[in-house]
Amino acid sequence: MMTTANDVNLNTFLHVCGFRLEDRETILRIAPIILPHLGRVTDRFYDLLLQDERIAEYLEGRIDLLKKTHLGWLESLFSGDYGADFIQRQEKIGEVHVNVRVPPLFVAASMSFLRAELSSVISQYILDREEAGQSTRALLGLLDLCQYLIDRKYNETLMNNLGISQTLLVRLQTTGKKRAAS
Amino acid sequence: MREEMIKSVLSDLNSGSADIEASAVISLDGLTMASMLQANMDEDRVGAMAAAMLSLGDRTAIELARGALDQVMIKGSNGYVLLIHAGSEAVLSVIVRDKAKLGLIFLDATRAANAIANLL
Ligand code: HEM
Repeated sequence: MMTTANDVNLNTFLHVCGFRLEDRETILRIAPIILPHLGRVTDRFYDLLLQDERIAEYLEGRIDLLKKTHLGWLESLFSGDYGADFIQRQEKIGEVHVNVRVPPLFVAASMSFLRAELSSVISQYILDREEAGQSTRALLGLLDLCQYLIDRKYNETLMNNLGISQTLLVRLQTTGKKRAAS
Repeated sequence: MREEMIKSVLSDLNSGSADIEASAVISLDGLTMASMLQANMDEDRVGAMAAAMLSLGDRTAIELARGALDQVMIKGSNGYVLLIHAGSEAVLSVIVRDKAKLGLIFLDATRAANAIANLL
């Protein structure tokens, strides 16, 4: 599971977000039921993205490639691997999005879409109410975790590009106030 | 010990001109290593702002092909803030009154920055 010994902020996030070992088991258990629907979720996701002029601009000329990339990411959430590699993969997304100038707004909106879509797939295909509740909780927690890791790295990369370290950023944000987390 | 020596360089700098109100040496992360500030100045704030300005100055000099950054000068209606690299790990920040003769102050501040770089 998570290797977070030196990552105080991630530990705080996980403590409150509550994504735990039992959730990994839940996700592995529902994976065979959910995986067949992810292609359809991705198609709907892209239909929606393409309807927005500002987002569509970023997709031009590479829709098929991006669809494949994003579907691959969605499927990887069901692999049960939430260790160091998982963290690194999410962080890489934050970094790549800075390089291709995809703002966090787009990721936040996408995550919101996915939360609603995946909850709806669960309620349609997992009929046991307790299992559906547990699955929804686990999957939403996992999406929140991904978004935190992506956004955190996004900000870190932006600031690094300006030569501003995380320590300096926290100092800037908290001068005259009690020191906060980054 | 080192902090005392840096403070003594700052003290000499401040007393060399009545137009220098305050000075401080700050790490690139914004931590104040030594300072001779007035009581109403917040050491943390001076440190964080100076380090951020220097970082942006560094990037600007690189982006606009101006070579390695030497100094950053900020002018406000009440005076100036000078930021000068003191070696590769620190910045000397000098807070100056508005009527100051900058030429002499630049000279003194550059000399002080070199002395501080040798102490770090
Ligand atoms: C849930 C939100 C999102 C996730 C999880 C996500 C995930 C990813 C991943 C895994 C990559 C590949 C990173 C790598 O090269 O290692 C990527 C790249 C990229 N994403 Fe996203 N993405 C999201 C939202 C978006 C949105 C809404 C857009 C639309 C503008 C977008 C545009 C891109 C682009 C343009 C690339 C670069 C592709 C390339 O040329 O290599 N992403 N994203």
